[in-house]
Amino acid sequence: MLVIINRMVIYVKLIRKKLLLWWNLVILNMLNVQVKGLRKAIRHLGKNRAKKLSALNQSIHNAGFLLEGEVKNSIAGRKAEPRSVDTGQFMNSVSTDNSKRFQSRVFTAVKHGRYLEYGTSRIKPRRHFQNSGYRLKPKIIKNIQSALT
Amino acid sequence: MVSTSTLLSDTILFVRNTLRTNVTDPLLSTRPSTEKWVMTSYPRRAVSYPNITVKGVNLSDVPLGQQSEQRRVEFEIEVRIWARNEKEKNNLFDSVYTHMRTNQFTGAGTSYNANLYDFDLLSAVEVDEEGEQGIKSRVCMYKYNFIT
Repeated sequence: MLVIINRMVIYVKLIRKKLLLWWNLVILNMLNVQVKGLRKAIRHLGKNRAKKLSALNQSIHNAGFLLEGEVKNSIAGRKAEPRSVDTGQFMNSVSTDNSKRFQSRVFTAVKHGRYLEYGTSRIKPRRHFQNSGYRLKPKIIKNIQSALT
Repeated sequence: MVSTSTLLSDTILFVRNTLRTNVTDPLLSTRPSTEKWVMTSYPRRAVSYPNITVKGVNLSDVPLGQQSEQRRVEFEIEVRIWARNEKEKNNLFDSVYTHMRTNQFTGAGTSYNANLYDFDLLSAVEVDEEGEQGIKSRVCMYKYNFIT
């Protein structure tokens, strides 16, 4: 928009005819957009930037712990998925890695975790992780949004 | 075509039928005529590998306006490839993915004609069973949007 306005100003200067000058000024007025309080808003964002990023990081890490709890509940049979506890090794192996900023990883190092999650040619998939993720997605989004406001 | 009242079953059947007719079965000449090679559920009886299963795993929606009853429904469909070895698994994945990707806008029987939009491959996780004779599989999650 700025480019168009500049071009029009040059155009007006070059032609120097009153009628055209008036016409271009009318167009210039029509294109005029004023945003009130923009500088103040930018200043406000600048001041709270560090605070907001820290809140975002914290809420993402909290989401990881929330998900870990949900997965463990699911494995224990307290959710819609079938119970997958025999010795408790799989349930106890679920943990959260919050070592990176803005990233949380809920994982299991147990080898048969993948078979329970996705199923094999002999057993049906139990989807403890996937379904927990689906269930908590709206809650996690809401938590992150409220942390940022 | 996917209709509003039967959206989930229509979407799954659309994916099943398009794969069944457009992806070549490696056992085309030897597979028994009673046995299907693309199925909508995990088979309970003995089957011949390779085969493909199509399942609707999740769907969620977002409103299209504050005073609107219309919604954008997001389907997550699992297309799982079961094969006897790595090569077969990878070749089938390539065929399925290429067909799904190119069957969006051009020609008849496309996802666009079936009212399914915004195709995406979300993930393709490998789940190989142990041992040389173990069944190899790849769990692919595809996404489609539908306006209802």
